[in-house]
Amino acid sequence: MCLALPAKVVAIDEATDTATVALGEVKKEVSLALVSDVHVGDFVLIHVGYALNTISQEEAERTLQLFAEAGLVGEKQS
Amino acid sequence: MSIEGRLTIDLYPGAGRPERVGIQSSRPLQAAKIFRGKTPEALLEQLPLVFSVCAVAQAAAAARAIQEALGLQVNGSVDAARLLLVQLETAREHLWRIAIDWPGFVGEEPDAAQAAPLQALLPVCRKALFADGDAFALRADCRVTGAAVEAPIARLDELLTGLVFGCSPSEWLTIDSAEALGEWSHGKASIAARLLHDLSCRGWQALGATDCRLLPALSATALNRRLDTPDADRFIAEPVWEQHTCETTPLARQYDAALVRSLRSRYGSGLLARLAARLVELAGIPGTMRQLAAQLGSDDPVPREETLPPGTGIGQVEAARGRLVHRVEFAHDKVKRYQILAPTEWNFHPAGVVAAGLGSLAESDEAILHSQAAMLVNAVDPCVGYELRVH
Repeated sequence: MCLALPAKVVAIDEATDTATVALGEVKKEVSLALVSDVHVGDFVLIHVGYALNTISQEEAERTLQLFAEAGLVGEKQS
Repeated sequence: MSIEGRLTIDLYPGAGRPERVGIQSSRPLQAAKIFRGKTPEALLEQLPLVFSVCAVAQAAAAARAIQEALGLQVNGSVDAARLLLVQLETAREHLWRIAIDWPGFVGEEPDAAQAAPLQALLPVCRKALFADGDAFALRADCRVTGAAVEAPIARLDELLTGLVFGCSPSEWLTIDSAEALGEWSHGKASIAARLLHDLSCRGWQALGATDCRLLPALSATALNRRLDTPDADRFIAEPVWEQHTCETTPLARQYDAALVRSLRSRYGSGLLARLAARLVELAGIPGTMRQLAAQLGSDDPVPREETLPPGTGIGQVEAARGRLVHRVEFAHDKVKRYQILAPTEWNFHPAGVVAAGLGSLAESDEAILHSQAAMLVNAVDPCVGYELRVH
């Protein structure tokens, strides 16, 4: 029953191995320690402050669409 | 950014021990309703996208429920391969807790990078088992033998030896008493050993010990009867079985392992028994994976034990945090109802094992009480973020 959120990487701080990710208008800092080879513009699944893995833009959009169907996010989050 | 929900855990200190413990959840428990009206194929494709934290266990439970509902036969090889992936996911989740959360309990920074190689192993293993398609597709096929996963299992052994146990996992499993565990944890470099040693130095071994019931084996018929009721949503949110709260955790699964039994007899089902149970389970995973690998290549159908009403299926899987149950009802080849009963709702029930454990903490110093409570919550491990407040 555990959801991870798809979010777009908008900035990376290599010194701290963290990224700023965006889900719609909301931005958040997450750790990149569990993933490798992440670039600005990539989509990642985030959970409790960590990026769990990278996903394609298509997967991110489909996931957000499913969250929207469930009433968890607005339709235009991505 | 709180789509995934969270737990709010409140401790209200009283004379000697907390006067009251409150656990509130904002987890989106009805998200599974989005699958209503979908085909089985669409459900199996979309479900891991939505429930992506333990996506393998979720997909395995869904596949079992759907195949049961549609009366589809699964061969032993596919079933073993799927369970093998669930085991690897469980190892990853346990290692994440150890690498990410445990350092904080001895005043160190998380070392998540340690756990990253195990994350990479999951897709490697998946591809080795299901080279031609999706592991959880309705007609998934697994045509390999155990040799296909020898290398990933050996790599898992190697990672666990280096990061956690300081010896091979199978050798570590010979530790069968509180004394032997104390000897192992003394002077070892791994965070697991240092946390267990630190816990013993502080005298916190028995913290939060309770005698909560373990969730018993539940038949598909009994689960179906309970989930096919008008108040099923309430049951999913705050489950009880035969009027009792139950726990479904690594401790529940490893309850009778020699080491866990030794710790329980000395300290009860407290903090040390819980942390040790996670280690016992983790150490056993390469061996369990090898047993499952030996079943690959079998064309024997997995026997179906029960017959539910036509179009209805229950899938049960032991996920990292406890037992995961999916239930599906089909009508005219489309999902009429989809339900998920997750372990977090059993374990973090407002009157469940965590609430009882927190309620037993007899500590007057607020900062120490907070530390003890955080360790106890983490030892049971919700699959969402949580806020812990001592009032």
